[in-house]
Amino acid sequence: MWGVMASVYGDVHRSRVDLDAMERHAGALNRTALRLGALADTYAAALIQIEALSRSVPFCRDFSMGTHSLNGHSSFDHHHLIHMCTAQQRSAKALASRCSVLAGLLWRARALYSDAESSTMALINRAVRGSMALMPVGTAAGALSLAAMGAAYGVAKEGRFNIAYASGSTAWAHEGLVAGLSQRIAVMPAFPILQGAPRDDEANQAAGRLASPAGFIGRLVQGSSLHVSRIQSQAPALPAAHSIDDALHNLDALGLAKSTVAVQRYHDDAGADSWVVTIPGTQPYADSPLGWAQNVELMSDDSDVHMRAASARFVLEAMSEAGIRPGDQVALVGHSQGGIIAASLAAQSGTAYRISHIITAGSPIANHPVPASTWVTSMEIDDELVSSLDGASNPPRRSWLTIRGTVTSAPASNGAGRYLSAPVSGSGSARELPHGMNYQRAAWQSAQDLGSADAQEHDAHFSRIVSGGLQESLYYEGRMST
Amino acid sequence: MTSTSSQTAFAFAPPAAIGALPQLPDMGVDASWCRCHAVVRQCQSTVSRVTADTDDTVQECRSVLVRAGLLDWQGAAAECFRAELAGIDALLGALEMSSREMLRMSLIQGAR
Repeated sequence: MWGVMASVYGDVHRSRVDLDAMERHAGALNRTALRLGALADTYAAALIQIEALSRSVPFCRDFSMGTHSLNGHSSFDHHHLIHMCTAQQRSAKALASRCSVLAGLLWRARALYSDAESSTMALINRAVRGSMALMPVGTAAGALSLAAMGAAYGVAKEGRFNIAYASGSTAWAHEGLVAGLSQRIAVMPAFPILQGAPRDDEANQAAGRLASPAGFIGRLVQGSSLHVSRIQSQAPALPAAHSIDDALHNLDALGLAKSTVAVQRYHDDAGADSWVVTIPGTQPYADSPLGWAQNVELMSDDSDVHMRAASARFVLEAMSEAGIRPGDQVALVGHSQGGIIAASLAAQSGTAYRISHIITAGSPIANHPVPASTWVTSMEIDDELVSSLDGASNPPRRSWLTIRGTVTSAPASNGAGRYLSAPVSGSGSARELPHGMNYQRAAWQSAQDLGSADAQEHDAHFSRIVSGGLQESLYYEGRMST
Repeated sequence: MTSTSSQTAFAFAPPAAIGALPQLPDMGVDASWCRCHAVVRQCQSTVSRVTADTDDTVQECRSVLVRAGLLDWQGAAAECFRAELAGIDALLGALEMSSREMLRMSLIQGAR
């Protein structure tokens, strides 16, 4: 069983004063734990001393036996005293441990907003990118060696090859490597800062170059004709999504259906309709419009190319058929490719829809120009490559909140320790690539548990969009043919 | 005379390592000179010291817990945090009570 620890990035709310207070209290609790540990040691020392003293009078019956003295010897039940000392030592030790866990929990909550970590990641990204520009072969070889070492560790640990270890061991370099490699593909100058404003969208430029051949191959394999048909039911039917957690739950459930997009209509007391469109990730079916080639098109730096992708057309057609009107508020919720589609539609200035909020899970969308008026809630997991394929960090702004998850061992099942990370449902003992919805949901859960004010604000924004009652859930299946 | 009697008593006592001490005959002598009295005082002093240490520690911990309880923090983890603070406070109370009971016991027994 695995857990996920969340960190929150963006123009976050929590003031410096609050963070300082958390740090101060965590320090005080740590010192309290040490103090209690010292008290436990004092009891241990007292225990030894009393035992030694009691042995120093072995021939005094009354003392040794603790019996009532009849002949002037002192009576002392040192056995009972030793027993009490032992109990006190254990209690003090247990209290020290509990204080230490509480201090750890505060540090964890404090680390939810780790600016230092964010800055370090940006520096590492720049360094790896620079290294790729100067020594592409050496850097690639170094990265491969690291991945191989990670894989070897995985073999030693699990007795089989597991790519998750290779991915995890190079996670810190993913964005930089992708950006550096993209620079080569996009044939950009190695140090663009010397020739103008620095850019972070190398990955999208590279995708733009690859989009034409990818699209051509896609059309060759899948055909270019998109068929969107409404299907009657989804089993089980998706319930109303009144929170981001609900929306992620529905996204997780929808992933089990074949190439299906769900469109849910809500109607509030004021008579306004609002919609939630749930879009799954890349599908393994040959005739799915949510195929591999569409990923490349959607990652292009050209928004016209996005709209040519069959997957984006599929979602737009489903939205149109569902009857979404231009003034209706729409929230798009997508996993992986579904999230890239959501960002592409939100970034499309000419779109007919009022996209108020997008929720993405494991989607590389840092360079999609989503307008500030659209709220973006992004979940990304450090140890997997997919969300790093944009080669950049998401923009830090109030309306764009990024929750980054780090995979850890499973949290404690009870006590305060259970909030140090959120458990990943359905995860086994073997390590796996943490791209699945269960990991993304755990990242959100972790941020929620730790009381992220920003996560609550985004949740409240989403909830306002879908404040009305659920009226209908419509399901659309897309297929490609020649 | 007293000294001789005591020496006689000790001469018959087996080493502690061999096992439980047998019931020794009450020689009817004054044992106020016995080292056991000093040992009891030392034990009492030890218990008194750890009790004082416990009192100080508990006071310090309680003030830290009270301040930590005022932290402006929301969410499930925060609720658990506050519940845990209350639980620790209750256990600190129990620790304090037990240490006082130890001291009381050592004083009463030593006086017998």
